[in-house]
Amino acid sequence: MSVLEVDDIVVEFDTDAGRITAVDGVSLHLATGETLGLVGESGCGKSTLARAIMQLVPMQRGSVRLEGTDLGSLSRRELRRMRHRIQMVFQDPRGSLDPRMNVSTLIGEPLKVHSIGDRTSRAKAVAEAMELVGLPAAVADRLPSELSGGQQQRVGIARSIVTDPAVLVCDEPVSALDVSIQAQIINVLDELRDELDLAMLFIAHDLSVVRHLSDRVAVMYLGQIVETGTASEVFGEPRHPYTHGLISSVPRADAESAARLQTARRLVLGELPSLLDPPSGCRYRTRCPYATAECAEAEPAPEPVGPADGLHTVRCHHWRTIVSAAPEPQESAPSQELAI
Amino acid sequence: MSSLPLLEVEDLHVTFRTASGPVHAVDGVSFTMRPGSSLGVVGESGSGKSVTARALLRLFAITDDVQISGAVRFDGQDLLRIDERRLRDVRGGQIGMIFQDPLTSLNPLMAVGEQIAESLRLHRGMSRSEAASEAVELLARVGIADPEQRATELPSSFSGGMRQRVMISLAIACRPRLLIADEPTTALDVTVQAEILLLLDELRRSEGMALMLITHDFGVVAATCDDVQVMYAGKLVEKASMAHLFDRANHPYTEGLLRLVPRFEDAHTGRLHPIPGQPPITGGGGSSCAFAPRCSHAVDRCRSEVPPEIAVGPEHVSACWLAAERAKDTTDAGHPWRRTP
Amino acid sequence: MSVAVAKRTSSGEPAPSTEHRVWGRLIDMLGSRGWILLVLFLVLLVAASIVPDVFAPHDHDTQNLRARLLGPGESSSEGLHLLGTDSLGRDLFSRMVVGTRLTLFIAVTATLIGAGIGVLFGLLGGYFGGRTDRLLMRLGEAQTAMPMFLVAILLLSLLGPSVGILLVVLPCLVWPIFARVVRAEALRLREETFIEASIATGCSTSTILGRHLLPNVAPRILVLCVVEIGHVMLSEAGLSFLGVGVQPPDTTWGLLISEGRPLLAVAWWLTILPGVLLGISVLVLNLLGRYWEARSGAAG
Repeated sequence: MSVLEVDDIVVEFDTDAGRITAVDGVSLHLATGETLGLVGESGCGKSTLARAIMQLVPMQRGSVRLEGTDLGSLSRRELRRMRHRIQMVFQDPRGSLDPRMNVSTLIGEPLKVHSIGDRTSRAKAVAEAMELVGLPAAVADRLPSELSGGQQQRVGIARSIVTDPAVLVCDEPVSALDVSIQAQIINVLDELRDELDLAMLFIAHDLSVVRHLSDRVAVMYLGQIVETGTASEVFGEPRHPYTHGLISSVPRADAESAARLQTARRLVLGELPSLLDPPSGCRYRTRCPYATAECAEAEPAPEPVGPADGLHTVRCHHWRTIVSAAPEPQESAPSQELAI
Repeated sequence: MSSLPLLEVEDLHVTFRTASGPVHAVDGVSFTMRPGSSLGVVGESGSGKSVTARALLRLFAITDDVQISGAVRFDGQDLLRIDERRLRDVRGGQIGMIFQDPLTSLNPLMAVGEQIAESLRLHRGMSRSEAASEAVELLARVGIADPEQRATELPSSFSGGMRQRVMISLAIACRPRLLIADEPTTALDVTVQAEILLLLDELRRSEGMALMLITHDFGVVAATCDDVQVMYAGKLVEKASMAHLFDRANHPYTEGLLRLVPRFEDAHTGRLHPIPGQPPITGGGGSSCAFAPRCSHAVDRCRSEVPPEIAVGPEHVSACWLAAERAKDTTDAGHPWRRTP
Repeated sequence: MSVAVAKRTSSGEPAPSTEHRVWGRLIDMLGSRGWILLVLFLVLLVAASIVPDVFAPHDHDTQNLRARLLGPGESSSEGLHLLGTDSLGRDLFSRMVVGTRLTLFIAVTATLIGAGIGVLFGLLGGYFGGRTDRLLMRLGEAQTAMPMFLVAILLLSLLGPSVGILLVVLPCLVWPIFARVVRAEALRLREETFIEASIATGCSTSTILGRHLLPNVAPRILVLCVVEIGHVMLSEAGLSFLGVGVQPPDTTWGLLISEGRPLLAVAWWLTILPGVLLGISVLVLNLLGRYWEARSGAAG
């Protein structure tokens, strides 16, 4: 059973330059104890999707069901009461904490807001949460500004798990941290998920981190999910040219690194198009080396890869033919000239 | 090597005097770079890698109370001893520099073409019209489409990746012999990062300039650099060729950094291995190995004496008392960091 | 301009205005311990308003026609008149001491009322934005645009001057200032992730306004209060000077200045000395406020 079911979400924004569709018909689901990684370039709508799921931005269409309850159908008060079951960890560890509250007040606030327990049981819950995320008891009275970035993010995580939520939405939780701290925070999230049986939506632009933490992965491009499946399917045998390009872009500490970047450049041409004027048909066609006339006319629907009931789906007209055409490059890059 | 070094840094020390005491941000760093070579400098934040780069050009805020000693010989002249005027010629002239956040390095109220042209007039003595057309050419060379049009636009109308390209075109405008790139792709998406790294690599080859790339990401170094040096607490703890380092990283800190991040090739392989503890906030300057408190291999000697740079292979040095022993281990039994797939 | 130089200047602050530079220099002159002097001055003022008898050498209301218009330092049968006497032979220093209470009371109360209205409107406008914000800000602007001093005079002359009406009129002068500052802060804070995080946690709007926004703007409000008390003092003095403020036998510094004005040619001290005290008080409050602001700004 899925604890979180997101069905066909559309989020539109008015900007100075016009109306944009930041999230365009995204559906996904999460089971208890499962982690879904969401990857994509900045501006692809992954943070907006997280906020729509959290009901922090209004949706134009679609539904978010948390443990069977449609969040969109609730009154503001009812929604507030539901919030302790779905919590969020933010990218900016310092900015997401009220600078004038100390650590124990910050972590205890969600309990207080939801009137969970009495004073003593709350204090106990706060102490437990601090221990779970590896915060020493000595920092309980400190202000966020007196903590290191890693500790700040631990406070953010403790705050989000103290109400015992079913779903944890993590929006780039480690990207603002130093590398050595990233590893600690990733371990904390990893342990928490196992210990608390959390369903986790993990959003990050770092594919290595996503692969490390996720059971399943969804790749987002211009507001749509272009490929989804288990982490090993999507990252091991990518079917969408964009997924393949993303994976090749990851700089790896090995000898083929430079050659792989050449592949990436071949597969991901130029820049993300403007959401104000998204391409017709397939969203990716303007950057895709395999794009044909068909791609400009018809929008590809998600198609299952492999067994029809499988989890691996891809949104591309040509995925069957591309697979054989784009093997992992062995030879060195063909051209050294610049893409102008 | 026969060719003369382009850059020779000798016993560089940078000390900040702060309210809470002196911080030895750079603590006796020496290295050389040959013309056209590429060097990656890797370390955590606070390791002194950025300060080292800034010290080469004495790029510090006026409010910083900073002391620099040692020697930075670039093309025969000691950059630490020339006057501010001559240094200005070197900055942006023979040595170009790009930073993590291109937006703060560009004048927000001036068209990018003008900014490049200004630099060209200043350093290469071009006329107004010459400089303007050269600026357009430079923008084209860093892969900016429709350069005539874009040259007239303000930095704010460029995306992050495009802005970094503008910065690069500005940095290479005066055909520098050395380009220093300080975390040039940290704020960018992987796809854009890939393009910028390729661009840097191609420019280095086509312009024949040397590249010093400062980063925390070994993957970035692997894609662009031939040599790598790892910094910790203001000191160089390991220097090697890139290929050599991946096969046999010697210093425990290097090993820790390599094991720190999940590798993309690995699916979930259990927990990560963070390096315990934190780097010293006062930088270097102690009488022991600065990494000893965080090092699982540390022996008594590590806590009482500063390890010298010990050669463990051709052009491979490691500042660790256990360097020789560890070098043998890695060649004998495969690399400790290479997990079996 | 080279890349390097551009980077270097970007870390600099924008050039401060002349006014800011003057305040900055005054604050620098205070050094690290000058604020003790400022606070001491305020403590004296507050003490004088609580127990005026301790400070006043003479009864402030006793007339002595033999000792009219004595200059500062002259003595009468009653003893030394440190700051001289007025046209009825009353001791000026004692009158200034006694006037402190009402001066401070009006200034502090009016400022607090104004601050209360301004903070509420500013928080609501800044946090909700949209129509609420536009309405509240138009109100503030309309009020700022009106010559409030003239309106005050009109009101006071129609209804008859009283302290009560001053406490209605003076807050009207200051609330838009509080509203503007708080609104700007609220607008900025609203974009901070921690507000979004509070919503995600399930905080209600009143919790967010009261427990997250208000404490974060409180330091600015406090500083502004201190500065504005000085300004309200000036306004009150102005109204009293024009004869529409506090009426005898009550007295404030402003009223003293006003009473001394006809005699400026023969007895300068009656106007100048209360004026100097008023000036110093306003300066001290301003300095203290700005000093705090500079201090907390540097720390945060």
